[in-house]
Amino acid sequence: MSTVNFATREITCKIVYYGPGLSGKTTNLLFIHKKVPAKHRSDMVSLATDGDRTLFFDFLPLVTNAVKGFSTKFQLYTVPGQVFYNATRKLVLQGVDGIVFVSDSAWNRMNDNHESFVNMKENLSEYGLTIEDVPYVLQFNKRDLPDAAPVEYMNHLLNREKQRVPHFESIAIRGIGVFETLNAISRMVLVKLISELSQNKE
Amino acid sequence: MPRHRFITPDEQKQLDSILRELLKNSDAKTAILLDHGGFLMSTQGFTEHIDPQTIAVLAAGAFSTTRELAKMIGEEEFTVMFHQGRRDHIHLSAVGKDALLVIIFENTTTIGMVRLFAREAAKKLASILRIINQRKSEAPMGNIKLQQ
Repeated sequence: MSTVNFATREITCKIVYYGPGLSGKTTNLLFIHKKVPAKHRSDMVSLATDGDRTLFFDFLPLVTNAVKGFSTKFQLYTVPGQVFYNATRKLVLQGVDGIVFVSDSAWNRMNDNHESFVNMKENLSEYGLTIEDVPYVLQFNKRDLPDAAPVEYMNHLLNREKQRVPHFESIAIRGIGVFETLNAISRMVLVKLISELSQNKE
Repeated sequence: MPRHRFITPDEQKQLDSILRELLKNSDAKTAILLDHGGFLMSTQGFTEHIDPQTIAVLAAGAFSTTRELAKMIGEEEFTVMFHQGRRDHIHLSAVGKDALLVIIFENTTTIGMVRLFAREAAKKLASILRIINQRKSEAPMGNIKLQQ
């Protein structure tokens, strides 16, 4: 749920990076944290296991001037990808405004990608949301893998809802495609917010 | 729940003032109001060496986790959580249905005082949040436009 505060002139939106385990969700946030100047972000919080797998979530707050007259804050979260952490995945989705679905391009991860996408829809439904209610983009990560599945196949697998959504090819560990994905989702979230406001005003 | 929340300057003033009063009465150090999703709504008191936004996000996570624990033993939720440190302590309590109040305090006051005034403040905060949450989008928003 985005919050518009007219006293502090701030808009706050929550973007969640969702996807199967080891698909590169945390890697996306780490790269953004590294590249965004300190004045536009705070420290990144990672609740990880000893083995550096996300246990609860990663959190990275960003500040932009994307909206005229307002300071726009994006709160980026990742979810733990591993199947057995579903309870925490569900908790992180609370109040979500936009989703980046990070999928793994390796052929042998296609089942995991699909399962995670289905799981995301189930978890959204717990908050009374459908996939049509929340702006989202697909990121096909690890495009440098020798056995990367063709983009057409990944679109066929994951981009088959009523509304086709933008997809981005990425190699998150090298930063390729990371900001393209973030720019797209943040714009989609703000466009939706603004359009809902103007509809309600009429 | 509405998809978006709008806080007017007047409501923000009221939220801030309830937290300031709470700090004055309880002699606590910092008070933070947030929702279950980790969105910060007000911060008052001492914030020099802490990042209220990060505290809000972690507190929301901790509260969600204990709510799941509560469900497992047949409770709807635990409405109060308390973390005791050597010098600084954190009191976390529910405000209405979808907000939380984090109070950071030192040994200069007691958990009893904090709990007493937190309960009072929560009632007042909840009534303002009800108005905020019931609002659709008729807030005095002016024109919100994307920068090119």
